[in-house]
Amino acid sequence: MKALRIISAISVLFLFASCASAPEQAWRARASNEAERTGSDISAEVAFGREVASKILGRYGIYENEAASRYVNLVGQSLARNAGSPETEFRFAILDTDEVNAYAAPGGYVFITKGALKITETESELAMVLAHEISHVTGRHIVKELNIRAGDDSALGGAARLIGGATDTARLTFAQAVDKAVDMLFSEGYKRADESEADGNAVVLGALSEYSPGDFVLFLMKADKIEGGKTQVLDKTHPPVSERVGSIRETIRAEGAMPAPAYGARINRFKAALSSI
Amino acid sequence: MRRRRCWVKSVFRKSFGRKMDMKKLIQYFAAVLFVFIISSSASAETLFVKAREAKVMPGASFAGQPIGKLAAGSKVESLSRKGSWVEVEFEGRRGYLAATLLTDSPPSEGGFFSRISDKVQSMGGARRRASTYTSAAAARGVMSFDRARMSRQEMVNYDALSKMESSAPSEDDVARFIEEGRK
Repeated sequence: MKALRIISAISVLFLFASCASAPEQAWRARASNEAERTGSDISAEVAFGREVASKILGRYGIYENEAASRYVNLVGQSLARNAGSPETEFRFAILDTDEVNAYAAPGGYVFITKGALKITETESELAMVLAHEISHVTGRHIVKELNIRAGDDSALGGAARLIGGATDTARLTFAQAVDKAVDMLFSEGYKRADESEADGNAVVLGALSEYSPGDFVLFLMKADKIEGGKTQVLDKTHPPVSERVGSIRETIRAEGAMPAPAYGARINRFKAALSSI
Repeated sequence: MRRRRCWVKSVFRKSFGRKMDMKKLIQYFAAVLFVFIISSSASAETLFVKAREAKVMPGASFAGQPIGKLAAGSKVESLSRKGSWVEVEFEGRRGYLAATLLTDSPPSEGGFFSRISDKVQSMGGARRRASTYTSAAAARGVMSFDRARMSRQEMVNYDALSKMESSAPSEDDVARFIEEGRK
């Protein structure tokens, strides 16, 4: 009987312990949900993202500077290797505006403005801004918010029909979803939780890619001091910098993300590529 | 309470077809619970590396030097989860991988990095058709709300998009860039 009681006690303890590990189970559930994403869903996201990207480019235009463009692409692709989203083909471009901001569209389209590049002082700062945008893509924040899937009951049902020759209604559904995404980027912003997740994941992505996550804080603080409307969209669509900085620093501490060594090659190539903008 | 116990006993008597006292009943439940819990806690989850390369850290953080690296598609058994890190067994010792680099879905036939871009490109000339569609719709005389939507669609730049899509550096260039950046 004594042995029976011991077995029962151990069982109950195990049961409580397994209940306490609920976050782990939640993470597994998320991973399973990712598995449910079909190839058609991914293709639909990219097709949708292209339309959103074309509108971002329609608003600002692309900044024509081969050296700067190639450099931003190389930094972005270095990060993309660690983004944990091999199905996504990331693309990077500089927007021709002095506004200070960066954007991401579903499917891997990432943008940084010429104005934002002008205030970056190191490759690591640039990398962290791009890492934040990449994290919006890998977090599929717009996709989840607008329920972009390949099924007929979603906006991308409209995408498929648009591609194959659409009715006016289907085309409108798709166009409205694209417009909503553009509104999120230019006026409404992502959900606060999504911004926070992108900041946190940017810290991990930056550190995995051997950059200094703390440089993201430097960039945000510089942007916060700019006056005269250049950060109007950034301010409108993001939580206050003071709030973000505290959270980013906490993540850096929790993840043990140390500053990267000051590699001379990075300093030199940063100057060479971006001194002309 | 006593009546309830009798009821439970009677159900089990019927189920097992023989007399069973409460002690044996509890014993039965404890054994089933114990076996269930032990089996579920022992089942490690199989995960796969979905980055080009994943560093294995000695602890659940970036602190310290990596104890090794795993290539894309490598299979690992997760032992536990700590924050944004997953504990795995690596070459006979415990190590940690960033959870963002792992998935429970095995790589497809072409590997994780078989891109879907070809598929997407084949979807269309989607952008060209969308563009021509805009003018075709205008010509057909769509309703006013539709025209309003179309006016927003005019703010697009597909030439710049094409330029962006064709400017990605090669894998070798990226690998070289990363390597050079460590000097």
